[in-house]
Amino acid sequence: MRLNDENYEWIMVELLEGNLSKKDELLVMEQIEEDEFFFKQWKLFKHTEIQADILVNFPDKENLLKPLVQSPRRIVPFYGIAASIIFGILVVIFWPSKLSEKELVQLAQPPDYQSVKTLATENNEVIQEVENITQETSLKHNHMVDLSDSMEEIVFTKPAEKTNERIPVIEDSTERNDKIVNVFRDKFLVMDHPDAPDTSVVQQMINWDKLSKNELPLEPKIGEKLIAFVTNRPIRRIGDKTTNIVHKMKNPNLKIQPTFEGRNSTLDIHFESDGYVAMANFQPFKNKN
Amino acid sequence: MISDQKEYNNLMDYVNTALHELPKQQKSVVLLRDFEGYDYRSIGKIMDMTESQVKVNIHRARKKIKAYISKLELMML
Repeated sequence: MRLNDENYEWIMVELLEGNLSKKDELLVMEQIEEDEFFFKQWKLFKHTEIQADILVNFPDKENLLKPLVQSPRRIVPFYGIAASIIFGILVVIFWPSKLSEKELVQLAQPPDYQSVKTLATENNEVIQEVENITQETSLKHNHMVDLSDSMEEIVFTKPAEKTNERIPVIEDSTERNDKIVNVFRDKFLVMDHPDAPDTSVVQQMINWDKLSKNELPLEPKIGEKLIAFVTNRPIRRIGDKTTNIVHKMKNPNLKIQPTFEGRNSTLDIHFESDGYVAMANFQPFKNKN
Repeated sequence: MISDQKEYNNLMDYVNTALHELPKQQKSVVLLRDFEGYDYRSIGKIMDMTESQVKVNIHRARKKIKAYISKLELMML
């Protein structure tokens, strides 16, 4: 590295800055000492180095530094994800599950009524069971409800008017329901009882194909108050027993409410006699669309 | 001895005067380099410059200071 008029400033600044290697430093210093011009110029460059006044101190100078700006943590998305997870868990936990028919019956039935619950199997066979909710009613009438097939038995406590009328069975399955409803409506007094519950306690599905084409027999029993009406038989038995019940009841109140809205049309039947009530809800058109 | 100290103080005054004559960027680079002792990379981060730009600014600043000092010496002579 040789000093000349063009590069001496650059080399001297590099030497002053300490950017030269030891070998180059020695070589440059030898040339500076040998040449008066370079020596003078080097001396001037040495004075360009600013030296701080030792007497002037700035304690706690670190406090003057601008604090490092930290990028804001993305707290909101984190809490948003956490809230979403918690919300999902709560939805899974508290999501209202579909109530079983048994639970629906328990919710719908009045506490003082003797209820009938019916469950439908895949074969459209009606399985029914009776719950005697009011123990006093059962004891009062000395009637023990049997959960077997004999549940279709009807117990009456007081005589009622006797009738030998028969209800014809309708042939066409699609028109059958309407006609049966009309028959019930024409023959029996249809009344809206203020205490009658709105919801049915019986969910029953009828297999119309199993209906008998025979006329509905009317074999009224000189009976008593109605305390239960249950059956696991087809609609013929239901019509039979219903007719018997209505004719034997004293001051019977019968309400038939067909509902054909929606896919599953229903037929609600509500009987009442002297405080005893039997209710039925049929879905005869289920799977018949 | 006293005269040397006085001469040195006068020289420092010249240098400080020359320093204030520099452009702002060159002055800041020299101050950071000599007063604070930062290396080129740190000065570049502070001044938002590359190391080469820092080096060039330091070179130009020192040449200007040297020229200022030499001009004053000539006037004193």
